Amino acid sequence: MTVLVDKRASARPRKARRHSDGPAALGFLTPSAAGLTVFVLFPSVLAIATSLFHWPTYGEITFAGLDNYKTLFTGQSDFGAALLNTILFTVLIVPLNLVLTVSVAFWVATSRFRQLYRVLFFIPVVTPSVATAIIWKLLYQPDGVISWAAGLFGIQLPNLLGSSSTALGAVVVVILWNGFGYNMLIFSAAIDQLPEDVLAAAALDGAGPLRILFRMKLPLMTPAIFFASTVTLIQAFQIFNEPYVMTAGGPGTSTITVVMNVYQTAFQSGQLGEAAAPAMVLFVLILVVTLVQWTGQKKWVHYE
Amino acid sequence: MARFAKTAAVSVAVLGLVGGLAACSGSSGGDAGSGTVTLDWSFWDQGTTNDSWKALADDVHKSDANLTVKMTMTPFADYFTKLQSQLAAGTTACIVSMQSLRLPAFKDALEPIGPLMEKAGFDASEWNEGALKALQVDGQQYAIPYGLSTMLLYYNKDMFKAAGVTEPTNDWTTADFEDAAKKVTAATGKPAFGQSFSDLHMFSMLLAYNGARPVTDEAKLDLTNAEMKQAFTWYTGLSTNQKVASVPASSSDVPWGEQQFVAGNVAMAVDGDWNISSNASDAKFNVGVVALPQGENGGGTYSANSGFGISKSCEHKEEAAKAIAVITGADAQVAQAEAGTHPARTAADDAFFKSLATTVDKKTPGYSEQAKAAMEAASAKSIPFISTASWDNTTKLIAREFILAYSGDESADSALQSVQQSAK
Repeated sequence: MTVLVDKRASARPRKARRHSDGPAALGFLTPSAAGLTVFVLFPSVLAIATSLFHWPTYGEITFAGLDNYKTLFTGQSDFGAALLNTILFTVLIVPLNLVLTVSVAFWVATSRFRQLYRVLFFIPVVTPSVATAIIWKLLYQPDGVISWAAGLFGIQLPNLLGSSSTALGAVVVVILWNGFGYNMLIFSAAIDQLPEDVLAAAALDGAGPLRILFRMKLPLMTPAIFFASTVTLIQAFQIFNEPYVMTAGGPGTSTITVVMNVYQTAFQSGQLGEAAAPAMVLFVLILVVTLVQWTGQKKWVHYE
Repeated sequence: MARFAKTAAVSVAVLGLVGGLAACSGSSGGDAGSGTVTLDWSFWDQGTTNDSWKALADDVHKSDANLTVKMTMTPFADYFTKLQSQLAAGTTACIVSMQSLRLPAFKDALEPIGPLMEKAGFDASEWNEGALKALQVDGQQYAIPYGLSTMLLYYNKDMFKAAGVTEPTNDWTTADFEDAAKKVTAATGKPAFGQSFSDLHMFSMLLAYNGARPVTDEAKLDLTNAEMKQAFTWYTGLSTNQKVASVPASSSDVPWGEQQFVAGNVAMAVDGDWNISSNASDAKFNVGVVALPQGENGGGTYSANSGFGISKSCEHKEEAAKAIAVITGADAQVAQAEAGTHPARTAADDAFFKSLATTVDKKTPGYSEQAKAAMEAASAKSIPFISTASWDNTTKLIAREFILAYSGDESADSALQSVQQSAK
């Protein structure tokens, strides 16, 4: 009762003095939200709808229910092989990437030229991945630089991209090389922010460098590691550029990925409905994995 | 509170407007304003002859001031993928360039062009019959051809000379081919023949070997018939057994043999006669060309061509037909022949060979004569390449599976079986 009276009594003067950020915030958010709606939300909802239809690029569109999902696991579809390869790519790339980038970030942090190194390692990230994939393809050719270099040591390399046992590994190397600098930069920033005094105190107390590394530095960096591993995992599930440019999914089915399967089904076979189904499966998979990571962070991520 | 609601309402309105604008599809094929019509023409990159094609687009405007043609060029490897996405989005050009191989897959997107062209003055007697037939399906004409091509065997004259091997002739048999390949490989240390995943290039060698064909007359894929197995075993044997062929480095290197040839890395490769001028001028060595080597029951070679069709979604079909009539008109064909494209109009043949003589004979004396003889020998025994309605999917599978057979990781039979089963 009293509150109401107060409000009414001082309504006009309060309104005149009140400075609300609401409208301004909305104003700044609208362009971004507009972009998100038009280019992400709307197509995502449309993709879910598309996966329930037989939708050729031109011709009649008919309702298919869950048929597109059922055919994913039959012999004629590449999806099974694509999913397996995608998981294999992810299992190889994420741990290797994290271990390599953390190690190199630490090593670079000890150097006098650390800023220069950080720039140099970041250059592959800003170069278009298609361009680097093409160059690496030339390097991998049977008459290329890599087999010539191996020949100097007396090693006779097989055709790395043309042999089903080595093609995936060869592409993994290129993907690691391409994406290396990004995580390294994140970890470099995290290392730069490690509290000097705490570490110095630990050293004074007699902790050796390895102990400090594993018991202090890494735990302090877990927020950055969490971010990097989540982002790298999401990216690894969506690999397309490098295998498509370097091996087009071959030899056999050894380097097809889910996104490549979606692309080829949509634009080479001209079936949009059948292409939307694997895209949805991938979406659910990434969502589940990210949720697991998100709930797991309480256990191992230490936010200060 | 009211102010907040008002701002929120404005934001939603903006979102809706942007969404509405984005959902609006662009014009399909062209637009008309105050009597003038602008037509879109989609084509693939022609390399050195690009300018001559652009000139034809301008010629349309010269012939009719109300008609303008805007040409868009895409690299060949991406052209049909782009066409698929344009069809899905409803932004197909009015004038669509189409390859005979891909016609079964795209014919439903094209308007039967016969009646429209007759209105624009088309006379079938002025045209090479085979060229017209290759762009028909079920007797309906879907595109007007601008050329006619056969597959030929190109060879490196300098490498043959250095190896001391007699040059190929138009009467070469498979045995002659293998013999020469062995000798050149031994002399140069590098495999003499470049293998390929390109459909025309590879399948024409199989056809020439024993008449094997990958697609039935009813346009159904048939890779596991006896002749195909025999021919493919021979083709893969060139690299696995006889070691005279260079295997593509990966499944993404589809035009391997023909590219390695122009780069000077292999002595022989199959390529179309559409490159008969550019291969000879671009290569840093002397190029020779003959018809494909024939086996005992050899079937000759494949012919294919490309032409221009009108998309069903075009809003100015009659104007498009007029434009096509100019682009493939008598003068245009002579101009194309002089620029190095083998014409589909019979009257322009002479111009083609005369122009070839001026461009290449200085560098390689006698080339234009050899080219003429090779093309005549090839055309005498050529059949059109029939493909299936899902041919793009099949070529993708071919590149992925056949590399295992070329390198010996898989048997020829199981590679054929694998593609036959996976292809839809």
